[in-house]
Amino acid sequence: MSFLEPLFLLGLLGAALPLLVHLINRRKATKRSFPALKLLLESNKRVARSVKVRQWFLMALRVLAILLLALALAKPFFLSDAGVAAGERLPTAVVLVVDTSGSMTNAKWWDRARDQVSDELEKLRPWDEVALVTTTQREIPERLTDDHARIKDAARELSPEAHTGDLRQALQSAADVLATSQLPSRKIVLISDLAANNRAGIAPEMPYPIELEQVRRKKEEAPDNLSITGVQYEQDATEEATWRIEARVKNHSKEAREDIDIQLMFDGSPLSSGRIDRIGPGEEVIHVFRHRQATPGTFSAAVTLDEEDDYTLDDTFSFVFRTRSKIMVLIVNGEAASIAYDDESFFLTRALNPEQRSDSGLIPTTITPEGLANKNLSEYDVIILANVPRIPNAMSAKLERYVRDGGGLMVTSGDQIDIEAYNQTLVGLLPKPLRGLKELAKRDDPDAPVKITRFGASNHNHPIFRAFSTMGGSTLQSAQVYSYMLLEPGDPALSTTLLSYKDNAPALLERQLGRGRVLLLTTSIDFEWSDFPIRSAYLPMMQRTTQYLARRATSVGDSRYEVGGQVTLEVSGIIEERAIIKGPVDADEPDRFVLEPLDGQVVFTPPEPGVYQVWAGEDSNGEPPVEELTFAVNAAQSESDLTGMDIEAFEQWIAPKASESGSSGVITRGQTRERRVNIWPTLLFLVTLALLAETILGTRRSVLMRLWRMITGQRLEA
Amino acid sequence: MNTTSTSNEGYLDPATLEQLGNMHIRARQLVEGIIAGLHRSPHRGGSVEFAEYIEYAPGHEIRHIDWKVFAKSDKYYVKQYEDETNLRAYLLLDGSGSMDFASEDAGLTKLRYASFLAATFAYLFMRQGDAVGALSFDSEVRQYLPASAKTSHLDDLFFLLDELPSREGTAIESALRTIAERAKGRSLVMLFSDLLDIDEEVLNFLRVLRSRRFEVAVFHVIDPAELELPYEGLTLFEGLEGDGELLVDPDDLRDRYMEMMRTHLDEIERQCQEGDVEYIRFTTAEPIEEVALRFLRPRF
Repeated sequence: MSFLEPLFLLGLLGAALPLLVHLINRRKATKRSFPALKLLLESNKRVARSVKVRQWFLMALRVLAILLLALALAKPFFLSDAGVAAGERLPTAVVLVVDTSGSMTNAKWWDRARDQVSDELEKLRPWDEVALVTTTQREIPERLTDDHARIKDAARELSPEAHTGDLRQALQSAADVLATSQLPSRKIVLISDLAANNRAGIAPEMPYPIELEQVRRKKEEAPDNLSITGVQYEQDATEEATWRIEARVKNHSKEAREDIDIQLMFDGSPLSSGRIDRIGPGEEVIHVFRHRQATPGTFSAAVTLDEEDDYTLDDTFSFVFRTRSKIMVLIVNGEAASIAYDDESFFLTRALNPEQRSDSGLIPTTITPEGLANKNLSEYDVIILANVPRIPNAMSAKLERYVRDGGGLMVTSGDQIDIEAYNQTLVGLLPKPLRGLKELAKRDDPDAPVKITRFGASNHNHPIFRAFSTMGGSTLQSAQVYSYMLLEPGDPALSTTLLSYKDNAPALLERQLGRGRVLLLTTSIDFEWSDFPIRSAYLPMMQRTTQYLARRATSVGDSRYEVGGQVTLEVSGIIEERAIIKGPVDADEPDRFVLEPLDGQVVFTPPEPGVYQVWAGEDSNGEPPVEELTFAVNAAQSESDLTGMDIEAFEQWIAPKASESGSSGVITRGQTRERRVNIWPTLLFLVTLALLAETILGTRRSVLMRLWRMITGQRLEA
Repeated sequence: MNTTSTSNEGYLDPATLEQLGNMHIRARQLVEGIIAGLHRSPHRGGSVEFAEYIEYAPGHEIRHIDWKVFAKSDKYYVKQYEDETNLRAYLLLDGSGSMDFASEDAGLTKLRYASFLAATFAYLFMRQGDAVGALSFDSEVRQYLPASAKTSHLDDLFFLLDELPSREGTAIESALRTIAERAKGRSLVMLFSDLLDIDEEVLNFLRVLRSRRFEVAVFHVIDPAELELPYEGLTLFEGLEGDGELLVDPDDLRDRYMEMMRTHLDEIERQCQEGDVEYIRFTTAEPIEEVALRFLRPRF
């Protein structure tokens, strides 16, 4: 029991007053001679006992009245979930708002929620009306009904879903439903875990009281939860078929977790497992799997935690693992010529795709420098600036973004290059600034064999040159170089020399920029400055260089979908009539959805987490799915934080608008559902009763007799 | 009608009697009131007792015709008288401490009231030529006047009545015993007391007196407060005869007290009736004449 005005408890001392008054009155007794004292004494003997009892009782009543009054003034109250308010006895329209968001999948919470729903429905009187609204409901809620059995059946069918609920919308819907009722009492009963993520945005218009039924036992209850917040993978830069798969694991608990087993699954089978030593409370760690995937393709993959916690939906993170099948190469030809041998890109295009096949691993596209501005760079994995005279400032910025985002850029030298322009516009890209042409010999110079230089030392450990360290690899050194581009010293930290000439001048330099790379070849890729294009090493080196530079296969940029959210698939040119979506693929019986594309898009709302595959038109007869449309859906990440919302914050969220009507507000009960029960009205009533009893007992019998006679109409005695 | 204040029915207010000079005047005033109450001439006198009216017939003495009756009925009636019976009346007055009590409603103490009443009877009897004696007592017999019909005896009686004691204790039995010893012949014994200390022996003695051909009349004087205990608030009651004190709220025991008082009175009345003792109970708030008439009416 608590008191609003505890200072009034000092009034308890007033309980001594009746005793003092009694003692003072005793002294003030009237002295009176009386002849029939013997009879008085005799009478007193007989009534003394009852008189004494009455006097004590009177005294007790007076003391009690003062004690009760002092207590009542101190305004005592206690918190209770029992009792029925007067308004609750009226015919009532009740809308049950049930939180069916992902966090409610916690078994304990959902069991309690079901019990609470059941209790609320049992409490209904036959004349009460009820409706059911869930926080994950998308359709318009049904009207209020007095068919309680139907609502009970509907309530039994309820189950939490794997996505985030919209509490605001649910409350608004409930208010809308209530607005249609004519019953004198209307209320919303909210059954929720009231997870912190529920409160977002503007509070709904709420002119009705909300009874909050929390499924949490205690307000401060801190659920135990580990979640995989995301998985990224990227092809290893140095190992061709090796992939680095990063899983981010977050500890939402208030205590550290240790020795957490984590597993990588491919197509439903465990592929690799690991252990995370420790994650502090609120911390997020990254666990890295290294995966070698020799066969290209699209795979349904997932990372799972082998840990029991209070929320299991976020213990698995599904993703689509795609290897890269083609490398798109954009060759910007700086010296196009009608004579094939004179064309700057002639040898290169043939080296990259000798047979010019469309299913080749390398697909080169050649354009002029002017055409570069119109190209969507992100469609290409490698861009080769072949003897391009100059790059405008705007384009250089685009190229820099492209490289930073993972693209590969190769700059090859030639006589068309405007050194000054390069050093101005490509300073952020080039490994080293250009200085000028060094011409060792003319092609027709008879002393050329003496003057020319050749490729010298190379970094054998580098992926490009690893193949040249094996048998026959020395052919690289057989190429004759007549001219090359001299470089300024530059910042040695920015660049790495991968290949040098015999005279130690750098031939091939690399610069890391963001997630991409820039290679600078100081000689030409055509026949003009060297005979390298006709050497046997040319083709493997160009291909390996391109592969090395190519944007690595990665999940970066992949769309991330959550259950309950919309998945929009761009199917233009792929699916014309109907899209068949099946998933989750790991399920025993995947669901099948048939959708029609609209404006080249298919919009789909996945009901469960997992990987979904898409077929164009027909999925029977062993038709393969459209691999590039395969997508993964995961449980809503926001649900992972099971921390409870502060009740007062919730009340503040609702209350400002709720209080406008005067009869609304948030009523919490149970551990956090308790409501204040004022005791002082009862105490004041008891005070009144005590005073009334005191008045009756304290009133002289003669007066009472007279009153009684007046009431009963008896004649008053003289 | 006299000039003194009177009660409702023309009787003297007991409270104002104290202001009426001496006992003689009071007695005379009271007796006049009584006679008026009896509708009878106070001057008829004679040592005979009125018996009945008979219609006049030749041979009757003319002086015996009642002219007032003639005036009313236009017929001649003649009063018939019995011979004098030589009545001796003894007035026994209780002068105990309990008699010295007057509540706010009464105006007179029980003692004074009793003495006035006794004086009235003495005056009346003496005027009729009867002999009147008196005895006062408290815890013992104090004064005794033998019965006498002499006119001068009235002064002695009034002196005794004026000087009644008011002391502790009540010796009714002794008083009755003294009278029994000293009274002669057929006598009327009139006991004026509040009878608070009456016991079985006293009542027995009254019956004994009756059996000895004494005519016994008990005048039970009560203060109205004794009947109703009208007090309120915490009160310290003190006895008038040294019988202690009691601190009590009268309200708490009023019902019980009144019930006991009623039982006490009923018991006395019953005993008196059984013993053929005339019992007249009155409060000091009643007019004295009325009380006297209650005794006299059956006799005239």
